[in-house]
Amino acid sequence: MARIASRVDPRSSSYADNRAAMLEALGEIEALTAQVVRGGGTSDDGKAARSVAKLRSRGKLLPRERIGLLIDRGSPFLELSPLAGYATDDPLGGGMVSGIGRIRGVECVISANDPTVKGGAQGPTSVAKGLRAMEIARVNRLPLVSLTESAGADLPKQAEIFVPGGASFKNLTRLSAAGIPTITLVFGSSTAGGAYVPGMSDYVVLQKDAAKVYLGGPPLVKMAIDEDADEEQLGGAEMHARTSGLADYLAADEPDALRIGRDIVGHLNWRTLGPGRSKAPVAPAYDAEELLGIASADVRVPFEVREVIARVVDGSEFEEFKPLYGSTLVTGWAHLDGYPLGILANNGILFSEEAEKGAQFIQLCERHDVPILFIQNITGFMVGTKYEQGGIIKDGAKLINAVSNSTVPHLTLMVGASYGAGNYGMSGRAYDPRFVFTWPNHRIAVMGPKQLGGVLEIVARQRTEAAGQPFDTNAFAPMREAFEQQVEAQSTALYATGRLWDDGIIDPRDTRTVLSLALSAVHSAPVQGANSYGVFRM
Amino acid sequence: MSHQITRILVANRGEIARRIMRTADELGIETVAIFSDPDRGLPFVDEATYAVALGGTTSGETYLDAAKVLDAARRTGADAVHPGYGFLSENAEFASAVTDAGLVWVGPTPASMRAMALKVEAKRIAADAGVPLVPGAELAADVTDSDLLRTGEQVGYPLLVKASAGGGGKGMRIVRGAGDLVEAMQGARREAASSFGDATVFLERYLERSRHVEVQVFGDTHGSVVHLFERECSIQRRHQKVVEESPSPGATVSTLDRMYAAAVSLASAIGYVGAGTVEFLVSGEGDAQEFFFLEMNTRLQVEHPVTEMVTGLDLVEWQIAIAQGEPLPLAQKDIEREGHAIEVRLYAEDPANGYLPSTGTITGWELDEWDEVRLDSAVHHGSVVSPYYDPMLAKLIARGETRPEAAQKLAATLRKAGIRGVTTNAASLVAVLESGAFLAGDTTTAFLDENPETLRPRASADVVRRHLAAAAVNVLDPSSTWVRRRGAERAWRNVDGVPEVLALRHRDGGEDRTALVARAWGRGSATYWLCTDAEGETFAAPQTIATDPQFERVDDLRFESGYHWRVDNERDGRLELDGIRREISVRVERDPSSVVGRRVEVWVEGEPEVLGVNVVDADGATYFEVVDPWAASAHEGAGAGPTTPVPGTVTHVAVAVGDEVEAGAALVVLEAMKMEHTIRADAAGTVTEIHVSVGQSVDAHTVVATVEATS
Repeated sequence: MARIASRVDPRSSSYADNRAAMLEALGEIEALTAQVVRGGGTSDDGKAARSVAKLRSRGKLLPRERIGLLIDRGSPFLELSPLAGYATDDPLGGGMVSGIGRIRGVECVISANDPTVKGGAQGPTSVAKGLRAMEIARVNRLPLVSLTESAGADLPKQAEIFVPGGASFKNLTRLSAAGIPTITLVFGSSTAGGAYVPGMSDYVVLQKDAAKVYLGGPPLVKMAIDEDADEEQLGGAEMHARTSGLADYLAADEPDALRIGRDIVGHLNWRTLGPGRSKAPVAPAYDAEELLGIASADVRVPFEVREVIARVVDGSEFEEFKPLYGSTLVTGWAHLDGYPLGILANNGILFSEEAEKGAQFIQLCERHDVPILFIQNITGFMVGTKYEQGGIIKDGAKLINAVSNSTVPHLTLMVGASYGAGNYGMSGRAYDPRFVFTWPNHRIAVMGPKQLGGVLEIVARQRTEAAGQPFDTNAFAPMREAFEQQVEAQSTALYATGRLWDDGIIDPRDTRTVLSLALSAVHSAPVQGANSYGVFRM
Repeated sequence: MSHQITRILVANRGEIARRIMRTADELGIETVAIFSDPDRGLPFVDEATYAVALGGTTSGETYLDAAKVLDAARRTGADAVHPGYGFLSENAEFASAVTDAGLVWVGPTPASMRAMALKVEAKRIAADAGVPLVPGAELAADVTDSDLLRTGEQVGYPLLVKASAGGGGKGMRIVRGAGDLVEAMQGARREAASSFGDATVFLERYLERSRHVEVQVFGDTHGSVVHLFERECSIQRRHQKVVEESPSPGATVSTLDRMYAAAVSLASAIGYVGAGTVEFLVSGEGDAQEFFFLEMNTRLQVEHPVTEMVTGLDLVEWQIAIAQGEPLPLAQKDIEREGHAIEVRLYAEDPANGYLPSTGTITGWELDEWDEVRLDSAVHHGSVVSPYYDPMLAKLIARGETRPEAAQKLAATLRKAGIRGVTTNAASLVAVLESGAFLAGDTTTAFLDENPETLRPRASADVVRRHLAAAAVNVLDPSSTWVRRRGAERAWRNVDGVPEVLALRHRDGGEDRTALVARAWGRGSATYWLCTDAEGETFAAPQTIATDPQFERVDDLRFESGYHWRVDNERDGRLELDGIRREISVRVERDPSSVVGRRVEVWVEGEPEVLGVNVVDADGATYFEVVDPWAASAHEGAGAGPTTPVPGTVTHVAVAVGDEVEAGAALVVLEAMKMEHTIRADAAGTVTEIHVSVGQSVDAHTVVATVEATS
């Protein structure tokens, strides 16, 4: 395999500009993340401090502290969608932490309520994040550990969550049915619908004098059957451990509950079913720091995607497939941290050749059971008479057919634009990649804001002129600009991550680590290529 | 009688066996070691030309079994036997049996041994030779309690009850008043019977604040006797020597001259042949100083290297020459002494905890010889310290032009000893060597009682902090790799803000202390938090660290590993703390079993759990044990009852089922590592069950009896 020859010039002005823009974006993300980690679910420092102090006064831990005590010492923890809820009505982070960490050597999906955020109440973002965590557990065959302490539904938003939220309980038992263990540790309230989280889990650990698990609390019981119920008798940990049998383990305190959780994972006799690494890992030959200056600050400026590959894969070695054909789609084989990988990466707009090349390459990866990394920096498929007549729809369909019916794990990395059907052909979120990670400069939309604004103007002009009116470009300009700004705001990486269109924004310098952890996770399940596709239109 | 020795059997074990074999090797004499089952892996077995497995575990089954030893000599064709010290070294019957078997006995004649073996007889001979004696009295085997008490009054308190056949502090008791005399005598008799097969004991005045000074003598078969100056061995724990030196810092020239003369005259009186030591107690200062004969040891002493270091002579070589019938190698006038030598005995025991013996595998051992520092060691890295024999691991001897120079060399070496796997007295020895009392030469047999802080020395806060920093950076730094790392760096996070906290337990000043370390996660971060003495056992809320006053934030903490990687986890390197770089050695102990089933041989996703970190630099060694953060709430043990502190053999059961006992009453006596441990009732009550019997080998923490409390 050949080492990619890098041509990056760190002294160039474009490099410096890109790097400055990237660091600025990272700074904004870091500040938002710090707000999430701090707890409280608000940007108001005083309010946040009071919520956290209230939790501390009861001797409780913050969710990331719980996770820290749950996972192995030294285990990495890949937190997913930490900024979910950005630019929504929900608290940033959704009052819930989810991610992948190692417990007694077993990679698990871990989700934890943050009781400092609305008492851990579940809003639309929390529900979406929780469902996504379960999906990751299911498709990658990872045990699921839930650290539960939640006030239940975020009642003002009940209409948004009641129907979709019900899937949580279904998912838990389906995970169990699929042989994927579900473990719930309850540190506080887990009531009403929330009571089914322990109820549906394989293993339940309740913390003494803290866990409360009941369908109806004392006021509801009083209303319903006029009983004066004692909370501890109704749903206390000891009652469930000794009387109802809902608790399998009674924990003395938080560390004890986490210890029991570790012991449970320890006895699962868990074995990963993927083939794992096939080579000894080698670090890339080029510095990951340079990724900051490589990715264009303006997604309309193209950049060489091989420079990204060179800073991510083992030894910067890349066996390129069809390098002389369909040159705007780079395809080839590499290893990442020892894991074999097929890579499809955009180096410009997709033409028919690129679409066919991609479809062929995916089929080869399927044949060899090799997971695929899609690196998206795509403004779309080529348009125009020549290309329509050349069958670009048929060819694009071939790529989408191959992507859709592919069964090896997909990892999708957004390093720039993700516009139009390019998003689909490169295994965008709707195509069920196992993980989607984005860089801060990422933009996602049906097309770029300027193009959309231009299209909007042309359509308006045609309509006006068809009505026999003169079209005033200057008068239309503010409307076009407002529209472009709206599209721009709704296509940023932060907007996308706020809606769980991805699994998180990552620092470009962490790309190799994040992908390595993701690959390790996907190898928990068997890695097997497809042997049937839709009919390829020829 | 003249015979050139060609193959010598060393009827001993441990460091002395190695030491004797070293000289034998230099003289071109082949060596034969004998060994018990637990000693199979020790260096002295490997280093001998031949080694004979005696079969058996206890001293009685092995090194004290004369028939087995003689059989080993016969089977290997040895033509000489060197007994070392202890075991059969002062057993005249064995010496006779050796010579009867036609072998050379490297030691005095059985007649001299007999004369000095029974202390009462030895004193009579000494008195006849004009050597002053300490007041004392013999005890008849059937002495009544009232006779015993009367004799005690005559001798005067404080007094010692000592085994007539004894040595090395075994079977010895201090009695400060009549009330304790009867029990002390019984205990001494039991210990004497088990250690020496002879229960005879006697009483002797105990001279407090006296010095123990002894004279090394040598006699040959041609009737010559010389002395090789004195050794002072006043610093003792439970009557076992801990620090020995030459010259004596306290004996006056006039005392010494008279003492040399007395020693030579005593040896001459019994026609002494070979190496011997005449022990004295020295009391008082200046012109008022007096000395009393204590006993004569008819063997090579443990502390003989002190004499070798100041005279430049090889005492074992002398012994062999004399045993071969040669005359003394030097005349008295040609024997000179230069400089000052000090020896310390490194024991596997905890001085802060009643000298509780410690057993286990030596997993850390940094001691080595260097310029005029000599190491006579029974063990090395990986050796197993068993509970069956003396807990002495090694002797370390330093020579300097002056006494302070020797003490400083010895302390510097001991500070870097870095011994792991067993508890040792190394830190206590450093404290002794650096104490004002020691440096002032104020060394009496009461030294350790008068300087109890030397038993539980506190390391300086600076040193603990530095060692903690070294441990922190080696465990928490992402580049602290155990094997070449795969996947993410250690404790990698994509979301910052929750530092990883580790609780580390270390022993300082005889107590367990908990320290906490944390590292901020972040790209290239070198920010740590340290807490050298934490309030709790663990620390659960890492997000509060930045505002927690018990933590000190340390920026730019770095460790740079040297090229010198010795074992997988050991790194010599430089620690950068507070802008100062220092040499330091760090060994991270990990639990390989924690990655079973994870394809350890090729790729380790995680790393094995860290069990502990041993940090050693010029200022000392600290071992930090990682506290299991999950264990805190899992410890729930009911009060178990009276338990054995160490593994050992039950030698006496003092109570029977149904007995009413007071709190503190002796229940069972246990012998372990040749020391007697009495297990007592922790509260008054009725004995309802006895779980052990005489002769039974028991593990540590075995409940010996059930005592139902009197309600």
